[in-house]
Amino acid sequence: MREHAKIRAAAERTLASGIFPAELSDGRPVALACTPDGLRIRGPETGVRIAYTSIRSIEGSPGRLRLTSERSDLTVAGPPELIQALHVELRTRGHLDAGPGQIPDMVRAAVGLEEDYLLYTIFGPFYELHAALLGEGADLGRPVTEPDAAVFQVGLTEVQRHLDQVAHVLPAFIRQRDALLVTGPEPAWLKSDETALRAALAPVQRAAAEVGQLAAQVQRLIDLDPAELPKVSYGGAAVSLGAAALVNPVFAVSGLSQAYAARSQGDQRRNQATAQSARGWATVLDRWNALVGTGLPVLSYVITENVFPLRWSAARRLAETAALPGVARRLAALDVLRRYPSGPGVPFRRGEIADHLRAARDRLPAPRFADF
Amino acid sequence: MALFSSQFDQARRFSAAYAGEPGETRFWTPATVGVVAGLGAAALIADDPDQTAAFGGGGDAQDDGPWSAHSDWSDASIGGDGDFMYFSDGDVSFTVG
Repeated sequence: MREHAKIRAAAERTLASGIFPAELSDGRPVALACTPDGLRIRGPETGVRIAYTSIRSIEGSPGRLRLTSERSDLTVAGPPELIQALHVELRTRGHLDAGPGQIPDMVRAAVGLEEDYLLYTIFGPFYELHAALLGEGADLGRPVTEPDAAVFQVGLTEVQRHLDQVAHVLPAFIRQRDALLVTGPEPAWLKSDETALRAALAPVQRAAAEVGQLAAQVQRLIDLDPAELPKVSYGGAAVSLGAAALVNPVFAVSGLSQAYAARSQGDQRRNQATAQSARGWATVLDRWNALVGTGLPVLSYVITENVFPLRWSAARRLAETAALPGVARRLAALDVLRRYPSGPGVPFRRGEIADHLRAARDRLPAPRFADF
Repeated sequence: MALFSSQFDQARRFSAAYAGEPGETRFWTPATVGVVAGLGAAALIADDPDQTAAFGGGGDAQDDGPWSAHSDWSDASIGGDGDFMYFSDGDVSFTVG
């Protein structure tokens, strides 16, 4: 059912503008709608309007949104993607009282958030896989010490696919998003920016090459010891994540979520491998830990420094023509995205992954160079 | 001076003014930000919840009287009167209450 195009389109429409069906913390069903004069919450014996300017705080977590205003304190529960969409909508509406003179600053604010966006969009899957390999209570700074063939194989394939998308689709995607902000026909500078952005993202290919080699090595090790063949249950994973996917078919079950399910399904096949495969796995782990520990933080720095001048000049040009509703929505979406994890089973919010990359980058020493 | 200092830091003060830090749960609107000519103007205003509230007006209200709104981004429109609420997205419509 969730494959049906019309159901997917309807779910997308719901997430784009509401009405949002949800529950209050005591289980009462309510419908939430954002109107120009406030958030309306309606259900049996409930009818409240909360003006955006009277909202004091919004605290979101996957599946739950706590909203306090001058007179009320509400907690709304619902599917994670719906809560996230409601959060975006509330932030967007809140931004709409900006004066026309504030639009350039708001576009610049969005560029500031784009750093986080780029960091987790490009490198997030690496750290989500790293967290899956580390298991429960993962600390992203720790190295992986136990190989898990199934998670490695599924995860590396997914990361490879992801990096292809980054190289080939992301620049066009960013251009299209910018084009939607501009009123009127698409200006020519957007197209030349896309080419420049593709060149700026080219260093990602270095990570792609490393991942390709790792995937090949993992495949050889699995061939060496067929008992380790991953028995990932795709059906089981889809069922265990099915509630979210059913309620909202827009969010397909990603390969990485399946990697998590493979881990949590408890088939912790210990490595009873021969000495040869043990050495092989040690090499794989060393390379992986070096990649996520030092390789990617430096690479992320190269990428953000390459991209910034392009985005900063794009912001200047966008600020001249962009209309407030589009800018408000972009700022809200970028702000809210970083506050939630990218999918069910992922233990880190997107922003935490970006923060981790920045922190790892700042801790890197430069011992090869003599001081001067 | 950090070894890897990011150019994005130039834009971060704008982000902090309009969206806050990642863990920020307070809600404020651009009208309370003012012009971010200097540093932390927004942070100053938003630090004082009473002042944020002063810009508010409105506040919570029991929701009565007919109302409706049309989406800026799609064909969707919503509206209602008293305990009744309807929603239409151009193709389909449904009612609550």
